[in-house]
Amino acid sequence: MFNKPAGTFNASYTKDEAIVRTRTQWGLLIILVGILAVVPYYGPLASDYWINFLIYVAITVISVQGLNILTGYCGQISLGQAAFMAVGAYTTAILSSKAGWPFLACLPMAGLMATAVGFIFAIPAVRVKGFYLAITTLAAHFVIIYLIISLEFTGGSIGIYIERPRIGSIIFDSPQSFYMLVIGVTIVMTVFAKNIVRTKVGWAFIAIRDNDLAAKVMGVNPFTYKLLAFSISAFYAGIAGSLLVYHLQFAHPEHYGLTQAIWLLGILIVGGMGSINGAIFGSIFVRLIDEITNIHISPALGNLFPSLAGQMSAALGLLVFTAIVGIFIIYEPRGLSHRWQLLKASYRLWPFSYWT
Amino acid sequence: MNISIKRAMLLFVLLGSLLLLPAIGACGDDDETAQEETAQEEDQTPTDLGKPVKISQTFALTGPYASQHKEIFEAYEDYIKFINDNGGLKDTNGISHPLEMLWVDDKMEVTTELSFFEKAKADGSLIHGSLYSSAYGALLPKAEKEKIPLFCFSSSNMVIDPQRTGYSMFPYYEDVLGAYVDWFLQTWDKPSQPKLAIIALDNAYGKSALGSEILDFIESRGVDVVAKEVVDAVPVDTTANLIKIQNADADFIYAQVIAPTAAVIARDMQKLDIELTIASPAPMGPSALLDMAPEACDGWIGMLWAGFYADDDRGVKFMRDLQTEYRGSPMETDQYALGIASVMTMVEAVRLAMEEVPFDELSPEKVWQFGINRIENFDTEGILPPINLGVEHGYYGQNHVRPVQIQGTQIKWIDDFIKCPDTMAYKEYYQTEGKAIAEELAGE
Repeated sequence: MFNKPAGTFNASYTKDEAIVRTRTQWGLLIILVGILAVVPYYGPLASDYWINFLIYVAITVISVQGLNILTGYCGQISLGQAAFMAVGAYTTAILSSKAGWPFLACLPMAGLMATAVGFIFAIPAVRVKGFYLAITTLAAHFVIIYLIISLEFTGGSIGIYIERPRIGSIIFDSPQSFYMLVIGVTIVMTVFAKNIVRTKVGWAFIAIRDNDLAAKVMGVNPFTYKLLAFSISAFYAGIAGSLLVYHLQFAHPEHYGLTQAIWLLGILIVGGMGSINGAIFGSIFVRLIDEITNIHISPALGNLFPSLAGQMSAALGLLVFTAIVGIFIIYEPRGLSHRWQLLKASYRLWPFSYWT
Repeated sequence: MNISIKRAMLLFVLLGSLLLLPAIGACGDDDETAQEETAQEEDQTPTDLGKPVKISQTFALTGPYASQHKEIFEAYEDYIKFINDNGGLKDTNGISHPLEMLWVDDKMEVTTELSFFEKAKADGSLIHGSLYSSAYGALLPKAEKEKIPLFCFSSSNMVIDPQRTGYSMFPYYEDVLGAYVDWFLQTWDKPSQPKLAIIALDNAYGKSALGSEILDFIESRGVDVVAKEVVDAVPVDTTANLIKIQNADADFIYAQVIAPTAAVIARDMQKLDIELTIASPAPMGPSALLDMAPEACDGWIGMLWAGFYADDDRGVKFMRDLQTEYRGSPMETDQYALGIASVMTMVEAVRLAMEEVPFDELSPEKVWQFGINRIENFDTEGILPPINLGVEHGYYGQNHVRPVQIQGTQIKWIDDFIKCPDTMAYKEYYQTEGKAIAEELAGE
C-alpha cells in the first residue's frame, strides 16, 4: 500500500503483481521511453560526446544490474564482474571477427559464455563467505585476464578489432543508432532483472542474503541459489561486455581491469544494493560525476592553477569517487534508491508528509 | 528540519568542499607561482593572435605510469608555451594563432579516453594523441571514420597493423629488442651460443617482447631464449623470476618493463648477486630508475630513442633551454625528451596543414592530408633522427635507438644511434598493404 497513491486499490492479483500499476505510472513510463528515444536527436545531449556517454552509462547499468542480483539481492560480494565482462567481450570479438557471426547470435552467446565461465568460478566461490569470497572472485578476475592475455586465439596483448553490429541489412554504425540498440537491450535486461527478483528465485536470494542458515532451514538450498545468482550475474556481465566491445570496436584485456570491477561495486553501493532502480541511479550518478570531474573540472583546474596540473587536479576523479562511496557508506548505506523512495513517499502523502 | 534532509545537505556540502580542495590547495606558495606564471604568460603572449589552434592529448597521470606521463605532460606544456611565446602558428593569411592543448588524465581507462576523444573532437581539436596502445586501438576505428590523425606514444605492432590514420614516430618495441640483440652480439666473443632471458610486463607493451615474430628473429641471430618471465607493473618481489633466469644460465637479460618494475628487479638482482647485462627500452626510463633505485641500478642499459645525455647535443640544448625558461631549472628526464619530440611532430603536422589550407577550412582531415602526409625528414631539433610519415614517405617515423647506461649516479650514452632491424617485416607491409589501405582511405 505504501507504494501507491492514496485511494488507488488493486482489484485483482494480476494488478497487484504488475510492475506498472497505475495510469500515471504508465504515462510517466511512456514519457521516459519517449525522452530516451529522442535524446540523441534533439536537445542538449544530441552530440557524439553525450551519446557516447549515455551508451556507456547504459552498458554500466546492465553490468551493475547483474552485480546487484549477486551482491545486492543474494549478498555475495564479487570482484569478478569486469572479468566476466571481458569474457563476453572476447566471445563477441572472436565470434564476430573470426567466425563472422551476426550481432543477434553474438550477443546471447556472449552472455551464455560468461555464464558458463561464471558457473565454473562460482563452484568454489559459493563455499566461502565474506572476505574469502571477495578474494576468490578476485582470483577469478586475475585468472580470466591472464588467460586472455596468454592465449593465441584471443589476440593476446594485441587485441581484436571488430566491425559495427548489424541486424539484417541494418548497420548500427552511427552513434545514434547504436545508442538505440544499447538502450533497447538495457530496458530488456532491466525488466528481466526486475522480474527475477520478484519470483521465488528472487525471494530465495534475499533469504540467503539476510540469513543463509535460516534460509536453509526454510528449504532454500544456498549452494544452488548462490550458483544461480553467480550465473545470472555473469550473464549480465557478458551482455554488457558484448555491447562494450561493439561500442569500442576493439577488444583488449586492459579494458577490463580490476579498477573497473571496484567501480562497479562502488556504483552499486552509491545506487543502493538490492534495488533495481539503485543500479540505474548509481550508474548515472557516478558516471556523471566521473565525467564532470575527469573531463571538465580536472583539466580546467590544471589550466587555472598550472602548479596543480598533472598532480592533484589529475587525481580529482579518483578522490571524488572515493569520497562519494565513503560518504554513502556512512550516511546513506541504502544508497540513492532509498532517497528516491523517501522522495516518492513524501510526495504521495503530501501535504501530510508526517509519515516519514 | 528532517534528519534525512540534514544528511543530504551535509553530503552536498562535503562533496562541494572536496571539489574545492584543489583550488584551496593551490593557494599560498603555489598560488604565488601560478600568479607569476600567468603574469609571465600575459607579458609574453602577442596580443594580435587569432583564434586558437587546438591539439588534444591524453595522459595517465594517476596509476603506475604516472611518473613517466607527468614528464611527458610537462614536455607538452613547455613546447606549447614556447610556440605561443614565439608568435603561435601562422595561417595562409599570415595571421598568428595561439596553440592550445586539450588534455585529460585518463587513468588508463579506455572509456575516459573515448569520452575525451569525443569532447576534443567537438571542441575542434585538429590532431589527437594517446599514450598507450590499448586506448589507441579503441580510438582508431573512430579516428579512421572521420579521418582524424591519431598519434600513439606506444609503438607496439598494433599501431601499424592495420595502418589507417594512426601513427607512432618511435621504433617498434620488437625492433628495439632486435637492435639490442644485434648490439649485444657485437661484443660476444665466447664460443658458446649466447642465451637471452626476457622479462616482460604483464600487458600489451611487455608482451610485445614475447611475440612469435621477434622470438623467431632472435633465434635467427643464433641466440637462445632460455627464459621468458612475466611480471606485474609494480611487483612486490621478482626473486623467483630471477632465480629461474639464473638457473637457465642466461648470458644477458632484456626487461620490457617500466621504471617501478625495473627498480624492484634491480634490487632483487643486487640481493641475489646477479651481474648480467640487462637492458630495457625507452618507456622504462633510466632517469626514473635512477631516482627509484639509485643504489641498485648501476650498469642498467636503456635502449632509448631520445634523451639528455650529451652536453654538446643540439636537442639537449634545446630542451634545457625550454626547461630553464618554463620550469626554472633543467630536469633531464628521458620521458620529457620523448614528449618534446612527440608534440613537436604533432604541431609540425598542423603547421604544414596551415600553410596549405585557409584557417576557416582547417579540419582534422585536412591536417591528415596536408600535414601528416607531408612530414618528410622532419628535424626535431636533433632530439630524434629525422621523422618521416605519410603515404609517400613510408610511415615509419624513425627506427633508430641509442644505448645509454646508468654509471654510478650518472647516465651516459655508450654508443651512437643504431638502426633497428625490421623484425616484423613492416617495411614491406608499409609499401604494399599499408599503402593500399591509406590510399583507399584518402580516396573515400
